Amino acid sequence: MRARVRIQVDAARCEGTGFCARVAPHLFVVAPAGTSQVLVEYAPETELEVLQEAEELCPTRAIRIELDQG
Amino acid sequence: MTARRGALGMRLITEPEDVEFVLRQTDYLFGKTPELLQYQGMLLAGSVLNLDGEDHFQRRRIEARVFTSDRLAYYENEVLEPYLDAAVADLAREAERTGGTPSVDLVAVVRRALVGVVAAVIGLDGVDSPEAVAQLDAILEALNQGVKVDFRTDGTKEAKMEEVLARRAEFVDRFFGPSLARRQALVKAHIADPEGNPPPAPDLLTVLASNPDHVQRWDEGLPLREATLFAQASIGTTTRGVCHTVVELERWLEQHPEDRARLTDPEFLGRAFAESLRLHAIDPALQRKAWQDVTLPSGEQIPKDEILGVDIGASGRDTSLFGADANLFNPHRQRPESLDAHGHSFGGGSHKCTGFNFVVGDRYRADRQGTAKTILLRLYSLGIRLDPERPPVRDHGTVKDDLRAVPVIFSALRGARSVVG
Repeated sequence: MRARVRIQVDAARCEGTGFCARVAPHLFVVAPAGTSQVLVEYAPETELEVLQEAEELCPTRAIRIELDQG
Repeated sequence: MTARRGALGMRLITEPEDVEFVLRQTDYLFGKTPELLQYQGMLLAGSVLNLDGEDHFQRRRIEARVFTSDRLAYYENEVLEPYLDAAVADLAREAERTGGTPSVDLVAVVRRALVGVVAAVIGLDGVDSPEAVAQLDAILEALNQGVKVDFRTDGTKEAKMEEVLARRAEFVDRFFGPSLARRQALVKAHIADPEGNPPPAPDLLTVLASNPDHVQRWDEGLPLREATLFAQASIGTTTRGVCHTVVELERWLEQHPEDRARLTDPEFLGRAFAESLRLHAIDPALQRKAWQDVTLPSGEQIPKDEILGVDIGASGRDTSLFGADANLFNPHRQRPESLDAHGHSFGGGSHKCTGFNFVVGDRYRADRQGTAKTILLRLYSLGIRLDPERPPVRDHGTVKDDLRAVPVIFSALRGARSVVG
């Protein structure tokens, strides 16, 4: 099984900056309620770099990514 | 409905849902208003604090490298801790010299402990002797006052600003100028020969030097103004928050002596710090300008181009959010997880303070409890308490809820040892 990245957004911590959706619009969207949502629960390992940037850009650490080696 | 008006005649936004909405819609429906603060503009024009939209996002993206999780752990564990050790050593020496428990100003102690962090975050060289630390400390205090000059009400704005600009010139000559030049050279060398010259550490000056296309869209003074913002932000919130916490906790412990046993508990101290910032908002109101006609969640209509004051002090004390005793300090306060325990002292939405995690810690990393808890734990391990002979001094010359001095004594200084010494 190939490695993949698990993506989670903690809605209680998300303040809707939208930074994640701007860095990775194919993986995140800002919902009408004003918080970010992930479009997929798992992304291929090739997305790791952009996901790390989204995680680090989030000022409330609402995004958590974990590499799943499979 | 008659709108409440604040300083400068601005409409005040006080309803919690409206406050949240305006802060979250900044960059989308609302913009910043740097033109309102004349003196602050001299120090911070074009800094990330005052940008909107795409410029703001691009600057945050560039500067995120300064605040990665690993960098924050480095600042906290490898920079702040030794400086705290040094501060403790200074205090212990003074205790030995006087044979007692010296009364010292906590504002100065905390600021001094954070000097190294500021140097590491910005990328300032030469902060390697007690004399250099003292000089940078004095400069940082002046810059910190300068950023807040617009809020002074005691007629000292021009005189203070003159002093601040003199200190800033000293900062450029001694620290900023040489440090920026060295980083520009390091970045150039790395680009020319990536294998022979490893990338320099991602401090602020390095990431700015690494992104000339972005920086050159402003004038050549931008890196200095950005460094000024980072200096003020790295010190300001933690220093005032820690000082308010010590004052509030002293009163709390008089009524709740059973909580003395919790003064070694990082979670308890984190809650106390959050309560202090919630009650003592960092600004009286955050200004925002409507980019279009907007209807707030409460139904209030805001016409295009109106400038608003977002009353984060009021929202931090709102009883519908924080309970009937919202005006009181209570480190055991229960609240919904979605509510920031610090109120809006770190702002909100896309302008949420970049250093939020720096100050409050990272729940995913055991080695990152944040600058505030790190400092508070150390202070209470030394038996800090307010000096019974000299009460805290509020700065009455400003509309900000600032403490000018907090005299404290330490009952457990003797025997304190330092690794720096």
